[in-house]
Amino acid sequence: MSLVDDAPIYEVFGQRDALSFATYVGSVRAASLELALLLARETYFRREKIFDMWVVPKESVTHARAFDATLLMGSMDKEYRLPSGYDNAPIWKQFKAQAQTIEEVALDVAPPARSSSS
Amino acid sequence: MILLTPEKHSALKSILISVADDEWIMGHRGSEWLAEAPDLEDDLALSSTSQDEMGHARLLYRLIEELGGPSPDHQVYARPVDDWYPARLVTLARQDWAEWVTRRYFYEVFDAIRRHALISIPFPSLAYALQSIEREEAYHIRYIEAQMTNLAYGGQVAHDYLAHGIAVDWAFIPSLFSWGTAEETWQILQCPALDPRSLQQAFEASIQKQFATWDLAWPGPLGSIDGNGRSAAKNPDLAQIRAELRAVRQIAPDSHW
Repeated sequence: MSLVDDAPIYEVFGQRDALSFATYVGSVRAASLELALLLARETYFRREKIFDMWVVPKESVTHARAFDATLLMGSMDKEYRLPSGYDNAPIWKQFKAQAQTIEEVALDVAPPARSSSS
Repeated sequence: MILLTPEKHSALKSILISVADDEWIMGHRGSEWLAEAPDLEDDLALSSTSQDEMGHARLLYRLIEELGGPSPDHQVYARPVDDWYPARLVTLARQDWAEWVTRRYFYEVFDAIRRHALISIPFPSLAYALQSIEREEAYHIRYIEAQMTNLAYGGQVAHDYLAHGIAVDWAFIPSLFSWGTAEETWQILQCPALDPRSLQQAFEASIQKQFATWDLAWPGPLGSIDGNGRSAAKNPDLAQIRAELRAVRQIAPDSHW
């Protein structure tokens, strides 16, 4: 008996509603794009409502890992780019705890001063 | 709401039993492929669509109950074998994958034609049931047509298997068109689309077009519609499949599930 080649692999993405992103759910083997969609529906979404499905031939996906390993390397310490890099919380707490004078409150709620030249 | 006369009532019941039995047996024959389909994906699709067919059968058995017939449980577990009316084609014992694909394709095409004919019967519960069945069947027909395309263009080996499957099923196709009980039931319902000859014409027209796109040779004229297509006595596969469907239930027939 001769062996039959396996059908090609398609990667399957599902979009739950019009506003959500398509999410990768898994893959199917299928003989054609249409069959890939038909089989993806029953394989991954037979019990739930789905807004849209994508199937992508596996070879159409370019993996960074296979392409260029340096792409995946974290370069330097990027902590200075993150808001958590600056620990302002205690200073802010201290500021909030201060008793404000009535003049300070007035200054806070006053409309911005117009420039005198106009 | 339009009420049916008692005569039409019983005619409708006897027509629905054929439809329900077809769906029930197709569902069971389909689920026999579980873990034996060519790949996991088809396995899942097949078990899911086979459950759909069983669900449709249950819906129709319930309609029969609504019309004064026995309960769905009685229909599938307790009904004597002589009161079953599935078509000979759907009851055929499992053969190879290509035969299953062609059988399913022929059945789905016929079933769509039959549903469109049934829609004209003025019985609201039936119209409602058909509407919900239609939503699932739309997928079934697309799926099985894609499988046919796959075999038709899948190379010489696939094409040969497909031609063989068609040759096997061809002789049994006319069994679909006959009605289980007296042939004139469709006349009592005053629904000409249910005439076995109209069903056959619509069926031939539909598959002839598809055969051309798949580059398949037309296997010649279909056999004549005889009244025995749904006869339990003339169906050598029916007793076995009925026994199998009841096997677990028969272990303790009086228990509640």
